Amino acid sequence: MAKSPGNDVFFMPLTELNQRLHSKEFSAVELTKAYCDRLEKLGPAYNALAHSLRKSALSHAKDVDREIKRGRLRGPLQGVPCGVKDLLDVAVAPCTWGAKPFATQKPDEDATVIKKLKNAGAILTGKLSMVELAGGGGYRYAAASLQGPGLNPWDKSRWSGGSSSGPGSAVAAGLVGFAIGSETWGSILTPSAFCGVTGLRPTYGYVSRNGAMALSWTMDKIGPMARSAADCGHILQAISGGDVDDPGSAGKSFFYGPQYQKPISEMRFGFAPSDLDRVADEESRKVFASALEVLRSLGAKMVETELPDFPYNAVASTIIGAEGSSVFEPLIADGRIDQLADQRQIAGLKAGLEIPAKDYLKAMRIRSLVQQSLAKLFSDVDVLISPSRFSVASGLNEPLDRSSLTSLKTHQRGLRDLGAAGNLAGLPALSLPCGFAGGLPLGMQLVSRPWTENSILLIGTEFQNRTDWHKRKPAID
Amino acid sequence: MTSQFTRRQWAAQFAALPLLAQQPQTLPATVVEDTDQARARTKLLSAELAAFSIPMHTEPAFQFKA
Repeated sequence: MAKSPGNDVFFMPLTELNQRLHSKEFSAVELTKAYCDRLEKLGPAYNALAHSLRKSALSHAKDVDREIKRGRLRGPLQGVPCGVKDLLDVAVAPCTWGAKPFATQKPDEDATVIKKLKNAGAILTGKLSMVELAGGGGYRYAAASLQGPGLNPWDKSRWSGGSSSGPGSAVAAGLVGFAIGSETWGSILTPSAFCGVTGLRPTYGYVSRNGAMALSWTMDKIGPMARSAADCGHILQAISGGDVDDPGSAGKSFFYGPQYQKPISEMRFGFAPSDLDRVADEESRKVFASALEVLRSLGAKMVETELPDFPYNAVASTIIGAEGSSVFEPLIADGRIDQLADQRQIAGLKAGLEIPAKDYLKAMRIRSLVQQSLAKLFSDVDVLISPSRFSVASGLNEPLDRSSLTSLKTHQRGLRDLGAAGNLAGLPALSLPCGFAGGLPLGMQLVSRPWTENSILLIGTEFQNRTDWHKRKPAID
Repeated sequence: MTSQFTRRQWAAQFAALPLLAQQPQTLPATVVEDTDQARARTKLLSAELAAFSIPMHTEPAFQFKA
């Protein structure tokens, strides 16, 4: 006899949700209804919900219940409610890209990722908010979004991070079973770290971008944000795969199998002690130091390392600036760009059109060397480890560009530019919740060579077997 | 601290310093100021890229694959 799901379902790993559905503890319709109620009630309170998909979700949940009854099982995502960043096309649903000029946009077809989620039996309950146009022009305030600033479930006076702000808040507050975000430079890892959820940026080319808003053709990636490393593995398996409709697709599929990886005891973890010097406060430094100790206890050899010497941030900024401004050139030309919420973002996108070809080409040439140098670095280590972000979530009204106005580089390189370097080389990264400072979550990132997601997922799962940071829940209003 | 800089980093810093000095240290308040600052940032990036020397035969990462 099925019963209504209790509140504990909102923070369950998806494998457990799926198992309870199969054991008929509750039906997919009941679970979906409970999640839709919660998303519609609390989503707006965190500015996390762009558009509810209740009607289509309940219809799909009925189909899933019929399938489960007939014994047609589709894997661990079957019957699990999820949300997607509002830059993925869902047929005839609004797709705002977080930006006023696209407030009424309604695509005709599902993005490839949406088709794959539906095929895996996942129930799509909502489109989740994001920073306008994924923040490609460089924004100053968290409020740079059509849905308002992403509010952090751990402290609503703090930002949830960007640009996948809705997915970060929604997963942390238990409004969805998991979410799909996207990253060009930091947009999965940052909200994952700020909101205390586990986020996986897949290798460039693993997941099709067909039907997703383009910001930077050579750097955009789509990936999961969820409750654990294991959940991320299951989700990536469902959404990866070749796609002729995405010129960046590598034509590869991911199969989640951490048990077939090299044992951690035979791995070499690269880390930079100087990274901790970049962390501003003592409490956060202790958190990262403790997380490193847990990773050390897994038995791998810890190797001090640093990134090769490249102007990573200038290269990434130039490529994203040039490609993003080209994507949005029509918007700039007809003046609709001025409808964006953030003045700095407007100016940044306009200025991007003035990046000379010589600079874009130089950046792309340096990028080739970055890729080669990192490949060499990975002949010495299996995984690079560094804080996902060096501080906790910023305040809602704090200018996000203030530090870049005043700071000169005065620290050792270490792995501080791992975010830019990893994105330039298309490397996979996993952000793991690793503790709290001042009541706000912090995250540690693991980065490995292309197509080795199973290695970082194995390490992430072992880390999460020894810690409970990923199981902590914020006090929900 | 400064002794940890490589020659390349020094070159980039010196190229960028005059441009950085032109940047206001307070947040811009108007659209014009924001536009000026965005252009200044583009020049700053350009200077940093120009200061970074690479072998002449280096091809750009087009048809990029990870």
